[in-house]
Amino acid sequence: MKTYFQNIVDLIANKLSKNEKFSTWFSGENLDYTRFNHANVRQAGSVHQQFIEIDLIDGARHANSYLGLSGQLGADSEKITNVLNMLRQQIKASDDDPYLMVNEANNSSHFEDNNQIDKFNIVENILINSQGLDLVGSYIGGPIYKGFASSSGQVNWFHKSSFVIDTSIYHSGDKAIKQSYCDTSFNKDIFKQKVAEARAGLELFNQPSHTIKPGAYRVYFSPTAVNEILGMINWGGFSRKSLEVKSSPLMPLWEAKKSLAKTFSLSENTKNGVGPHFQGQGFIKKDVIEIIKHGQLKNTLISPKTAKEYRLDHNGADDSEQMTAIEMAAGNLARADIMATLGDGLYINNLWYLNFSDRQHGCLTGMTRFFSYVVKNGQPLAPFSVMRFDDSIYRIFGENLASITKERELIIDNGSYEERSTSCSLLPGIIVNDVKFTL
Amino acid sequence: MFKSQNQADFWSIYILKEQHEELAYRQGIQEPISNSCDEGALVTVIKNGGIGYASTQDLSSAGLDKAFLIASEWAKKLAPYSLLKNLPQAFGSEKGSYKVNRETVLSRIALKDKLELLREADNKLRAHALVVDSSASLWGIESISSYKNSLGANINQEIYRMVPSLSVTANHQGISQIRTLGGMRAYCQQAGFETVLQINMVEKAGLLVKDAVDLVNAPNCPTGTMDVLIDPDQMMLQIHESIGHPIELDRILGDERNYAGTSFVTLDMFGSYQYGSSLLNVSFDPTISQEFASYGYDDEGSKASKEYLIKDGILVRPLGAAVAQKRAGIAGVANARSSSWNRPPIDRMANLNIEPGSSSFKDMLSSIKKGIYLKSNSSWSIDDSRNKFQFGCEWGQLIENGQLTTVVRNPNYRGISASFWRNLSMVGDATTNMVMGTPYCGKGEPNQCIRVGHASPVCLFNKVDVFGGE
Repeated sequence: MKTYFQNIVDLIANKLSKNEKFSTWFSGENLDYTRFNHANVRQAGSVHQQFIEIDLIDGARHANSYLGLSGQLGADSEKITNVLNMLRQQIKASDDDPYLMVNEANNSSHFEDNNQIDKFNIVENILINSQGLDLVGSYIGGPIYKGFASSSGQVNWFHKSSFVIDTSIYHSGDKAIKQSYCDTSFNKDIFKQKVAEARAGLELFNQPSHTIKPGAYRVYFSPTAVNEILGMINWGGFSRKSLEVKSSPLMPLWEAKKSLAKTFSLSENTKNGVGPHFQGQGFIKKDVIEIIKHGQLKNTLISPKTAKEYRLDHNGADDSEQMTAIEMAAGNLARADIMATLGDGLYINNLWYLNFSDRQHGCLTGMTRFFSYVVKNGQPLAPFSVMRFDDSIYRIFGENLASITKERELIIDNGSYEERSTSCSLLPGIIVNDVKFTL
Repeated sequence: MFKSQNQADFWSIYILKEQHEELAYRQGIQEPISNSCDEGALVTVIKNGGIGYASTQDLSSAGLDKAFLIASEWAKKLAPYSLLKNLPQAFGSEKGSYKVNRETVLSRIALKDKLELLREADNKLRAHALVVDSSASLWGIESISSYKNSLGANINQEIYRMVPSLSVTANHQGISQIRTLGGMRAYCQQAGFETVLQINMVEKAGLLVKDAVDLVNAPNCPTGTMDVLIDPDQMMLQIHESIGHPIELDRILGDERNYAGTSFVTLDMFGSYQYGSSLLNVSFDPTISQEFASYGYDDEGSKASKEYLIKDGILVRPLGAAVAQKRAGIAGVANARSSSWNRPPIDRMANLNIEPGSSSFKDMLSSIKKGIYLKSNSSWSIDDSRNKFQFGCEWGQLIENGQLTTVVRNPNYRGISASFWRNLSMVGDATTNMVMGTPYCGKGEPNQCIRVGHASPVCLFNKVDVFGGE
């Protein structure tokens, strides 16, 4: 695939006039998928796709096109000629872009981790091990390719093969054990063990569900639940542009009107992430950016465009200025002590459908889902019916943050809108006092 | 069509070509023009009751033959585990075409004309000292698709869409408020430049700036149980989340339980369940030519027609396409849709509308002693069974003794689908009806984001829990 990408880049370079420059972003994947329901197969298939985004630059003016490629050089050459001609016309109608930041460096790189993944073996293992269970979910796997190249001669390449088995094993109604198994090679014993753990977990659902009343509860949020909360904050929260236009939920933190707990620290750790270390314009991401340190906002994510607009130094952030390799600092609560430390409260494994209820003040709402239960005297009592929480970032990660676990979990983002995500999070669980539940 | 097609019990091929153009001004600066162009095929094969898919951008004979073999391999290998293995044939042999092109397609309009309109709208958005951010954009989408199958189906469709958008952020004494054109790009339609001009983005920009400035100076929304009068640009979200998703048949059958969720609706409810008050009439209507998700045929070749899903408050029909209908043994609609050639069709909303009633806006307003008027969605959250919801709006205005009074910021309301719709007490007439939509509805594994349309009149609900921000 890299050779094909290089051929396309050469083709673009040869079609330019002397006053034109270009940068390209390549995104491709061979995706295999199987959707399961009731431990059978609903849909299964493969997707072969490759796209190239061409930004054609003429002086301070530019325009871009995201083009699907057939993989056949002859056919794609004609497509690229047509696109370049269209972009030239559009540049003529364009104003200068005062925020254009052309990457003139030549920081080429190459990363390749090409494991062969036996999709049918994995899918058959899932089906065989889940017989007699109500398993629903998906297998998604295969290689992902990302590339960057520009007129400066820089070429970056990223190729990684991996899979995600994301499933829920249902007891009844909306009660289920949700699990995720992501890796670069499949180990049938690990999967078997996960299914065995799920079977054991289902036993708690034999207890009738409690209906808890609206009010404030002491809560343990698992790393998966913490990921949902941080994912919501990541929607414009750490973006420098959002802060500059005063729409970030972290405005009170940014303006030092509020702070978070001293035990709460958050980094963008690209070095330990699972995605490419270069962004869309070919700028190299910093290995680690400390975003929140001991409860204070220390850095924000600054894309090259935002840097130009607000006269700042960029830190290699993508245009979206969202974290893609979140790492939250561990605490000192041992996993074995979670239940005893929680005492009386709610153990929440999964959250769902979060959104801001008051973005300005960092208030968010969302639902519990799947496997969450009432804890009494440090012992699981019974599952509870789904509940809505509505609380503030500044209480959850601030004044009400009681404990952070010592152990952290690596959570690979299994999102696949248009293409597979290359984001991940390394997160602990947390105990929070007086979380507000409303409905 | 394919070299090895005789080896399949059934095959189909869906080819989609899409072109996008996005133009925008932000804070007085023209954004770089952005385009996309993509074409690909989805090949489906059924063998021994197993179903396999292969998606490719290589549309040469060799490329399509290769895709056919990949789809065949999936179908054969997983046939013993297929949920479809004992089902009768679900697909048909429709022939036909669909093309509604009443207006001038955006790509035929000179760039300078479109850019000038956006520049003027953005200038208008910036015309106040409290504005800290603004943008005006126009997104054109052209979709050309074909569908053929081994039963003789042959369908061609051309669809042209436009998505105008405005956004303004005002800030005053530490309070920020955002107003948009209907929230969530809600003015999207199957239309051309004439509709863009009719919307009058420059005039709308002026109104939005005034709203945003009013909101930063407004008090927080009060807490209480009151009547709620909801505009079409919030009704669309209410319909989408608490009617559309719960009556999707694949959710009811459990396919989405690991991701998008399950449903509080069960198969035995169809035909008898009182979903809402007797004023509630909900239709699946692909025939409204300008609505965002109108089409002649779904992506598995079924002919689309208007059907009532809720009639006089009673749930009568699910949003389920041919395959789900066979699985459930219940009649549905033509709503097998894929987000593109690279995803398999699943049960989706398309155009899901509330039929207009008989109340004028004035009559609805004057009937309210204590209430709030809500516009433009800003926040949405609902449980995975689609019952407990909480939604927020950009704009709220209190209603006291039949009069619109104080503007309030951060209005939110919450409820439970199963009881909320039974408190529908008045439905606006056709003069209050608006055809809206959204390009962003997420569902499916692998994930699929799809375009949907929602038309609704203004509606009045009683006894709703309303509250504001901190």
